[in-house]
Amino acid sequence: MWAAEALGVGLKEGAKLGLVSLLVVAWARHAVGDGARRVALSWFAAGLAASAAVSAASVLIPITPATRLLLPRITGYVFFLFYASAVAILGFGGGRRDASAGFAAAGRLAGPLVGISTLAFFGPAAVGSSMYLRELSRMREAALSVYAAASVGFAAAPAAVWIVARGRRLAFGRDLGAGQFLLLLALLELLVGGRKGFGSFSLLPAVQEGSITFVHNFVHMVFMVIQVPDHPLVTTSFWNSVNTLFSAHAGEVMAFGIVVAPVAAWAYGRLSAPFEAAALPPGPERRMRIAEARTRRRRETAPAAIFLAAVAGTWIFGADQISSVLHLPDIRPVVAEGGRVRIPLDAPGFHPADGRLHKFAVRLEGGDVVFMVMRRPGGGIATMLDACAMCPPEGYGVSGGHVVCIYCLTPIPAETLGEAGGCNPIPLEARMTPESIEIEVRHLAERRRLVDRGRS
Amino acid sequence: MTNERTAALLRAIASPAAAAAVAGGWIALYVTVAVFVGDPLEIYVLAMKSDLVLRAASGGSVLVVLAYLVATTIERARASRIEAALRFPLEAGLWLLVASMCASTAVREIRWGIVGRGNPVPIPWSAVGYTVEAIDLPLREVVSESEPPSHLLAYAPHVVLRAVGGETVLVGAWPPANAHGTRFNILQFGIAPIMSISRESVVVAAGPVMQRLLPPGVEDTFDLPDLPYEFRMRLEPRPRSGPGAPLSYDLKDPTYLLEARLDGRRVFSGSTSNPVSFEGLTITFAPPVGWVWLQCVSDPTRSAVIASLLIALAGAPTYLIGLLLRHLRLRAG
Repeated sequence: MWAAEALGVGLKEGAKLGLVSLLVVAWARHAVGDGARRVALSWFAAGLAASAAVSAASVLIPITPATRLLLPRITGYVFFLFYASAVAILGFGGGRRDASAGFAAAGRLAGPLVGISTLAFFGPAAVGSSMYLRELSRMREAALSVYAAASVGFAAAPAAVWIVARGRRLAFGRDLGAGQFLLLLALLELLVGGRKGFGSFSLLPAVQEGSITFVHNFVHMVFMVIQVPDHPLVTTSFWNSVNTLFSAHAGEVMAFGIVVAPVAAWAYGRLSAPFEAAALPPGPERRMRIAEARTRRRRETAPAAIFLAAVAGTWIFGADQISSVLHLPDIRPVVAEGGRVRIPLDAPGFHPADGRLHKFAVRLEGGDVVFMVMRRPGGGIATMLDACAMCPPEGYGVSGGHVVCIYCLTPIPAETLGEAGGCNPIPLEARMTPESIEIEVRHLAERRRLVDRGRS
Repeated sequence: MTNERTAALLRAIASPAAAAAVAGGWIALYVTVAVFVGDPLEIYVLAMKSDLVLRAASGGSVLVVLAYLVATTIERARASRIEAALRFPLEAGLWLLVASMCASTAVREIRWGIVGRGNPVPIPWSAVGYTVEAIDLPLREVVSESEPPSHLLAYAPHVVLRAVGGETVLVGAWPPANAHGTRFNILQFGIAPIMSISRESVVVAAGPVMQRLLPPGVEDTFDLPDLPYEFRMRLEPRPRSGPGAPLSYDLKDPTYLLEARLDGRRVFSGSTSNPVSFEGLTITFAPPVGWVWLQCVSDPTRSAVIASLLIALAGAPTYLIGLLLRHLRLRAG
């Protein structure tokens, strides 16, 4: 299974390389003038080389929960940059933008811009995959086999693309405006930008997570303005109704809408706009010019159709994966005063009654101690170290409604939080007041020292 | 010439490109902060309290989008007045929501605290001072788990505030009570069991301990100074009146299910219907007192936020009808 997973990671990265190269060559061949083409292709190659170098150098980066969290975020950010650029160009360029003119306008910056874009496109995902292979090889204690399987996959995919494209004119490049070109690149990043093997091929979970967070915070702000009281003053049924807005399924729908709506709106607007030739008197010429224009529009909107179909397919067939994304809550720094760490119950963006996992870090004895607060479904607030009593202290995330140990991926039933034992987070004693949660610094430090010594 | 330049400037401000640049800029900033810094809305709310540049940028952006909205509506009205009228409310509602929320983050003043009878309620932004004259908690003698919830609020606590001049304000959970530009409401309430803890007949601690035990069944935890125990507590249901009868609770004089732990080891677990004893300690319970968490807010934009929500909600279906009409017009034309 692990060999297939390593092969899959290699295939994924190889397919991305092959398809993007194909797209770049086709676009450069038909949409860019000779001089600009040379510049574009050489800087593209330089960007690929830099990505490979960064990926190789990433063996020096320690694998921590923070890097695990950061890499998919960067990959998602790259998708956002390509996607937003595509939407902006499509919206204001009508789908056609002369690439040669763009290169001329950018002047000497054009080449480096291509190189940096290439590095941004390939670099983070390559580093992520490299780290993932490193973890896989350590867990299986079979580095040679893991890297061999990944290498086979990495070489096979571009070779397959090359065999299929060899000798072809790649005429589809003619219909690619800059917007469509960037949209297809964004699609590739969206579909194969994930860090892991079979588990996270798509970036939609990141969009889903962001959507849920935005809606949650926005609703919280509106509730603050209209002064909605706290649970249990408000009925549980009302609170549950509000919570459906923050559910994984609502997040799926929002993520789908956010990714699909701008492109669908552009394609619809392009296809449904009135034809200039419609002003001509009825006759064969009018019909011919309208037919030509319609064909041209269909070709221009074909990348948008591919994008929409691919995203819809990912959404429909990958729904389980999307809703089971591992979410790592942001860690909020707090300061100890008077020998206690005090967490106000109504700090902005934080309320334990929301049932979400909240993480805090306090600096003690020269190091950060991360602890967690979460309301149990049966009531009561659980306060815990962000460390397991059994596994290496990598902390916890949330997936599919469960608190999950990041190291061993064991789901922890929320109603058992605050209880010691098994893979449960190490409980902390806390003093609850109606306004805050207070934890003794001495107690935090003691528990943390036990973890450091492996005697939790 | 000056008029021409002004007109050109206004056209540029009201153009789709300017609106898209403003919206795109904020989206890019939001995503960038979300990816690399932290929660963007939280950071925005905190920064709006004092950052003049951010306030100016927010105000300018809102005006640019307003100009675009007006220009677009006029443009649409030239093609079809009905379509323009149908699509305007949703867009105007959303614009007003964003504008009023931005303004709210900048001007809202908020204070909250736990109060009891006779306590002063200090309000820094108001010259009118208040004192808590009475607290009326909904602690009925018996509540049953089978009682259907009434509307949105499960409980209806009230506080009476008296101003220095003698004026009284009755404050409930929702809607907030308005007095002299300040809106009051109760965010939270609860009961505080009164405990007396003694060792060998000597009282070592006594007094109320604020707990979140409502709705019945919810568990809360507490510890006490100079005692090494962690306590967990929840309301104890009354004996069922018959087989299958719903659970009921006495909130006037409740008994509790109490658990005491020492270093994670349970040293006591049971009902407080009789004095609780373990490891040489005895704990007795008296009927609880209530506590109320009062919120005081000064926010001149509140009405605009509520109005914008209503306008946007009402405008959503008319917007869809407007889009449908446009689609039909384009197909026909």
